[in-house]
Amino acid sequence: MKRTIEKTVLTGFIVLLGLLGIVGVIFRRTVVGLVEDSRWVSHSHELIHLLDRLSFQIAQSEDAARGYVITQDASFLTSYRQLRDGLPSLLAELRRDTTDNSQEQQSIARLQSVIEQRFALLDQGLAVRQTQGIAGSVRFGQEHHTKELSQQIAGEIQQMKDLENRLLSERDLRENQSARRADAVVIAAVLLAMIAVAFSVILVFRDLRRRQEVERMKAEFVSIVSHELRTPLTSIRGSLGLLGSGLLGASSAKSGQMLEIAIRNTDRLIRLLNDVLEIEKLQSGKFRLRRVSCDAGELMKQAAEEMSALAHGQGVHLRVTPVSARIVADPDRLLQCLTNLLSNAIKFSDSGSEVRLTARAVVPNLRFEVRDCGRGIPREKLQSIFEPFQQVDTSDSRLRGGTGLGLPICREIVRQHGGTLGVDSELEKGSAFHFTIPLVRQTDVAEPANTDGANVETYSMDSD
Amino acid sequence: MSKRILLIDDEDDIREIAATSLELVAGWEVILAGSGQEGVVKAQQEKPEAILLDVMMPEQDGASTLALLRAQKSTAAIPVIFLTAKVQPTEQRRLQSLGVRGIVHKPFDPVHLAEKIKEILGW
Repeated sequence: MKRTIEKTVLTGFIVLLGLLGIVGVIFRRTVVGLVEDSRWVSHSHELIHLLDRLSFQIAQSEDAARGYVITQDASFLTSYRQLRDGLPSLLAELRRDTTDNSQEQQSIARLQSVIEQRFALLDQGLAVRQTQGIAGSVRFGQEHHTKELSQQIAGEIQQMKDLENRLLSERDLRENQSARRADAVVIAAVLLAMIAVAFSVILVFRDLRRRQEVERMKAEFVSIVSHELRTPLTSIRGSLGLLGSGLLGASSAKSGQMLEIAIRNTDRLIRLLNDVLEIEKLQSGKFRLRRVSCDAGELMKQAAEEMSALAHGQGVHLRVTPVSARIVADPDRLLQCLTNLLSNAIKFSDSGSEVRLTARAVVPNLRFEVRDCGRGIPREKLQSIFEPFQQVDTSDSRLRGGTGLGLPICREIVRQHGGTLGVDSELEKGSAFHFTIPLVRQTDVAEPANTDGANVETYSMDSD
Repeated sequence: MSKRILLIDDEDDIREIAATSLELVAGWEVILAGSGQEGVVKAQQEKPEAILLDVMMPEQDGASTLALLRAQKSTAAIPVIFLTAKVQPTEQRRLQSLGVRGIVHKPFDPVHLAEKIKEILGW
């Protein structure tokens, strides 16, 4: 399948965008996972910290209670009560933080129950201390196994911490895995993007090389066609020319007629070959305009002079109104364009009618116009006539001797000058072909004073 | 006034047509050569007043032949006109820069060939 450079670049970009899209999605999912894992790791750390605080607060409460029993100092009692009253909020916090884990919720429920029992006993022990003294307190402690409850509390807390530490290890592992995955995704993305870019660059270069090769082959083909067709054509045209000239002896009237047909068609074939090579040269961009400042009026006169014989042959009045203006143009190419338009106008005009060549400034350009009073161009053909081999009538090339490439060549010449070629036409009334060429300077233009005909030069060839 | 022209072209038909044309239209004497090598030899022997030289020829093309003609003292001053089917502007400029007096393009009109040569050489 033939791939153009545009297709290659487009494919490259689509592949690249697709890859970046996929990588973006994977990267986002990985990052979201990583954030979630980090959140769970923090959560475990917070929970362990809460359990430590609970354990510490319980130990401090027991110390304060013990201090009061020994010293009966009221400050110990106050401290005990504050610490004890703070425990429910700690437990509530723990419950809230473990809603995701039913096992931990059950542990907290058990823990709360043991803590409540333990502090109920502590409260009672402190009351005994007030009524029965230190000996009563010691006896109360021994009778109610307070030490076992404390150990039970410590055991529950340790069990919860063990569980949370296990979860923490798992979460740490998951977090590390997510971070490694994120790293791998980024590296893979960069590598894939680099491969895609390298692939696109290789395709583009291959395409460019292929194009250059095609251009080279085309140029070679044009050169070969130019030579290989011209050589036999030279022999044919030369032989016919010599026969037709009568230099080799007179021929019969019928032979002369046949020779004239052969010469006319050989000339047509030569024109066609020249025009095909010309349009190829213009469109391939190999041709460069030789732009200089030139006199538009002189070019108009020159074009009319060149076409005067044709006009005479057709019995057409050719009128040119030279404008005094300097334009930036390739004079040879502009002359080619003007003579082509004039030639068309003359060929499609009736004997006795007029073809006019005029120009006027449409700053910053000069607008040339070739107007005829011929058959006009149908509306649907106004655009297509500028395309190769698209004449108004298919018999035109045969009857009028055109190649069907004159207007495309003119359009290309005007386009390379930075102007536009267009046409206004009315059926049975005539056509006006016009094109623009940049002026040198606005001040260089002087409109023709053609009202009294003083500045009008007429190239008029009557048929008689 | 009769002139002596050397026509160097590898195509038999074109040699025949051009020679016939120049002899019949202008009454010139035309010496024929079918290759660059033969052309250089004939130029030395015949001392023509001008040389019509084809550009695309096998073995020794027009440019090489021109260089050989310029290198020989006896042929260095003979005006040379290239005969070519090449139309590309770059090729035209290259040929012109080789130091020929002018270029006649193929296909040419045999009736006006002598006129064209006279115009180029100022005869």
